[in-house]
Amino acid sequence: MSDPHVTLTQLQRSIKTSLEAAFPKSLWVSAEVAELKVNSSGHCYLELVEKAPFTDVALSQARATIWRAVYQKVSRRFETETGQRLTAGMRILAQVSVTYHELYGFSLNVSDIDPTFTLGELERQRQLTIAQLQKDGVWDMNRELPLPLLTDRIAVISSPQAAGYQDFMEQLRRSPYRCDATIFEAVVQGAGAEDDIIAALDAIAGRLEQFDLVVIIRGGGSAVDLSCFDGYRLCAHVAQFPLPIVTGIGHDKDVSVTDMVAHTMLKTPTAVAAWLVERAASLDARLTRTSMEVRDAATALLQTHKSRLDLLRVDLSHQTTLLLSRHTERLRSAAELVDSRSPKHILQLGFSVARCNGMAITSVHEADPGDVLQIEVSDGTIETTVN
Amino acid sequence: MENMTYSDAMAEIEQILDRFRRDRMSVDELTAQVQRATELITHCRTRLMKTEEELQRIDTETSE
Repeated sequence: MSDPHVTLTQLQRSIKTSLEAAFPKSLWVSAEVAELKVNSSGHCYLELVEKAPFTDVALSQARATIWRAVYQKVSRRFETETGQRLTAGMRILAQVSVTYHELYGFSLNVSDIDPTFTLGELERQRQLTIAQLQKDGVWDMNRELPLPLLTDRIAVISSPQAAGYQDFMEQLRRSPYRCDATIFEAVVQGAGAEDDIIAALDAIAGRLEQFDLVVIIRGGGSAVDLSCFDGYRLCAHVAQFPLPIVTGIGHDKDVSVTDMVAHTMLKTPTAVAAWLVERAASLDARLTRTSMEVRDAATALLQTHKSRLDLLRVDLSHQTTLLLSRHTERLRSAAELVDSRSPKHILQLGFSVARCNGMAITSVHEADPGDVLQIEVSDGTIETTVN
Repeated sequence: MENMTYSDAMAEIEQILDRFRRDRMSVDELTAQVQRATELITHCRTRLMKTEEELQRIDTETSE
């Protein structure tokens, strides 16, 4: 005997009826998009998950569908308002109705998505990244690196096909200054960009001594999928990178966290190239100025020495004249002294010398009466006899 | 004298003049010392001129 039973179809129908009765109206559900596929008909199929906080462990999961007509409308609005394409990894708030199909089972039918919720989530993620980088103590590290005077060996992280990269290279080529740019290829937007850019940074880190500067540029195009530049891992790499990093990511809206921790943030790849050329030009001007200063200083030094030699020459001749006149003066006064002691001088004063037989008489006992004396006066001799 | 440095020549000139100023110069050596000082000054001037020419040459080369 067989127990009373239902067929599988009856069971599924029963579940479907009960479920749909339990959730008669649509409701708003928040979840993370784990997978997203759009098939050739334009319908969008999603896997929604909710993970345990700060982990990758799924607590619950459900399939969801956005039919083509809804998807076109919803995804366009989502892009306009968030500046991002709806992709896996995002947290969304979706208006869903619960459906159950006998063949395919449980599924959520999405009728709307609220972009403001995702914006809030992205902003929250962004703030978390900023807070964590500051807590790590790495926030200012790249900005505080000294910029080398000469920055002409550039490591460029970009997608070589991007228009922005082409503009950047073209601008450098037109510059009168030499600049060696080496490309490190990376996807610079959307999923995978964060890992790609980190890999490029790691490659540069292996050749640090060959570069002065790292440039991250993202060429033109839409402003979507930029949340990779707010990712904690990329920003932590940028902040702690040993070479200064310059960004030209080309945002229309907010500044990314990568821009904030980079050494120098510029708007576009073209602006980065212009900045590099401007630095080279100002260094050139500075060198020209310095070489002129050196030349002027050398000329001034030579002039000083020339004047000093002229002065020494004058001094030498002056000192010689002085010395000679000093000696002449000494000779003259010596001559005067000698002259003043001469007998002739004394005779002129009225003194005279008496001689007897050629001998000068210095005592009364040296002359007797009758002796003939010669008396010398200043202009001749007088002969006389002693009484 | 040819190989004498500018500084050494300058120091000797100063030394000779210092003897004049402090009246330590004798007439016997006057001629010789004045001769020596004059030669030293000429030597220094020549060095200055050469230096000036070299600087001009460097300047011309770098601005080419």
